[in-house]
Amino acid sequence: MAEIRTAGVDSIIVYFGDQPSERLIAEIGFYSHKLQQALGSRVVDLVPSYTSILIHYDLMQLGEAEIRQRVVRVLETQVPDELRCASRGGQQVELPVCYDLSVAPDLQMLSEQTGLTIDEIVRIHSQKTYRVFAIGFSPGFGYLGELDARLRVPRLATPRTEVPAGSVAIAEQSTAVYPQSTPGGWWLIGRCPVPMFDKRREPQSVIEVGDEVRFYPISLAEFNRLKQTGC
Amino acid sequence: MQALGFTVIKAGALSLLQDRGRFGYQNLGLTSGGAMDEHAACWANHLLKNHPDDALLEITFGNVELEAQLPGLVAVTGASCGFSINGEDRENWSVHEVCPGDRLHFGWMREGTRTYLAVVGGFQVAPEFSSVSTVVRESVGGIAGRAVAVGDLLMYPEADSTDLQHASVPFRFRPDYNPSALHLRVIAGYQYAAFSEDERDRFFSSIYKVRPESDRMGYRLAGPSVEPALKGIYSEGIAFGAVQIPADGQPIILMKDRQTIGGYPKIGTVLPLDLFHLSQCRAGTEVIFKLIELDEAQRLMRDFYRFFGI
Repeated sequence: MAEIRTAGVDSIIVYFGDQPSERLIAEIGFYSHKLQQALGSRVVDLVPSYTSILIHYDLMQLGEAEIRQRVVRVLETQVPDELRCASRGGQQVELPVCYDLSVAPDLQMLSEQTGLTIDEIVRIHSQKTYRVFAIGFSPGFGYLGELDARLRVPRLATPRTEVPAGSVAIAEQSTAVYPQSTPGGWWLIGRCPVPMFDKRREPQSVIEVGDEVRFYPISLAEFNRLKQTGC
Repeated sequence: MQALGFTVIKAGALSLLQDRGRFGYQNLGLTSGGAMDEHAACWANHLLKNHPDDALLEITFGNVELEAQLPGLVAVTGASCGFSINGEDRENWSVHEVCPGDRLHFGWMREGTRTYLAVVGGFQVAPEFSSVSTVVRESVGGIAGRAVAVGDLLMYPEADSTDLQHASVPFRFRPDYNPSALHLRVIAGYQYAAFSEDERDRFFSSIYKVRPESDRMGYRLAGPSVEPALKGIYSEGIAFGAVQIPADGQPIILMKDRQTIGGYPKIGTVLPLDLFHLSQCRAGTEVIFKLIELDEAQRLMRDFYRFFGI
């Protein structure tokens, strides 16, 4: 059963469990949509992440006792066995990734560190289905998990001051696509030509918390072609 | 029609177009942003009978000069920085008339850190994600997602109302931005129960000082270290004013441009009214935390919002 705590003068946080898991994050994605639908304008912001959902509510419409009651009512809705049927909750996203060394500056070092060949790394990284556990750090930056244990490395000792937009990266249990060019300390193992976040598009972000993501390898020629057409 | 407004002659260290913030996009990783000191910002719009969400200019550390191209009315509130028009000193917390060719000058900060400049009708900027609030880190809002720069044009509508000319904020509502010690009222929440009684006692009975590295993302404090029972937590949504305790035990209060999620334990959340005041305090200011009941905190916030018609 979920635990609800006060988070601030106009916020509560709902904890769905102690440990993140693919099952739990799918549930959190499902309830995020249900809560948004049921609470409507009473919600100012709703932030799902790993094991919880933060709900910032409109203090001028209701107080904490009432928001708790309404949230509990929504949580009584059973999670469907087939989570994917929710409109955008738990959607499946497929993303092309070019693992060519010219756009994967840390792939060689990763191969040396792990003792795996580059082909093996590409196969391991692209064969798994990931879940979006959280979005943060920068607009549209999704923490995807869990990464295969054989690919786990700590963050770089010295973060790069600029990681190119679209870089596919790994660190610890997670993998991600950098939506913007930002500083970053993850290992860069490929490049995705699909813009992950675009403010002129609706929805702006390709992924949401709870979604499933798969990567499929493409050649450098295909990458350049997709990049030019803007997908 | 030609666009008119203020031409920016001197931009200052950090001048940002702001409204009350960007809401409904934190699930995509966009922070709320918004005027740091809503108390002063709301007064500026209120004096002009603007909408509380109209865009205004947040000037950090002064040193700004603007030239008016249109007749208008402005309100100046917040930090005092020797505001003048054409070299003539003008009162803070008040409304002033401007004429084409007038030079508005904001000098160095004397008291406080952020001055607000509002115009009748608000600055005319296209919102991004339903808000004009500038978040430089995200390149979102304001003018092309950046701070105001020399040569920019800050557009505003021509004002015809003159009945506001002598409006000013009553003295009792003008805060002291150099308090001997600022009391920060905290709502117990998040991982509050995971801090031992000793650690909580230390947190609520010590004096902390605002460190110079404080900014729109967070106010970093220095003082007796607080140790959480938990090393880290799974990253979770961060409320405005949440007090994060990182590994070194030195509290960080998360402000308007905070990251949307984070993995440090939090002992509670500061009442927004006190955060507005804190936003004006400089490095070295002493702060003391004390608990406030949620009901009382909600009543105070509702009174504030109701007063400004939010």
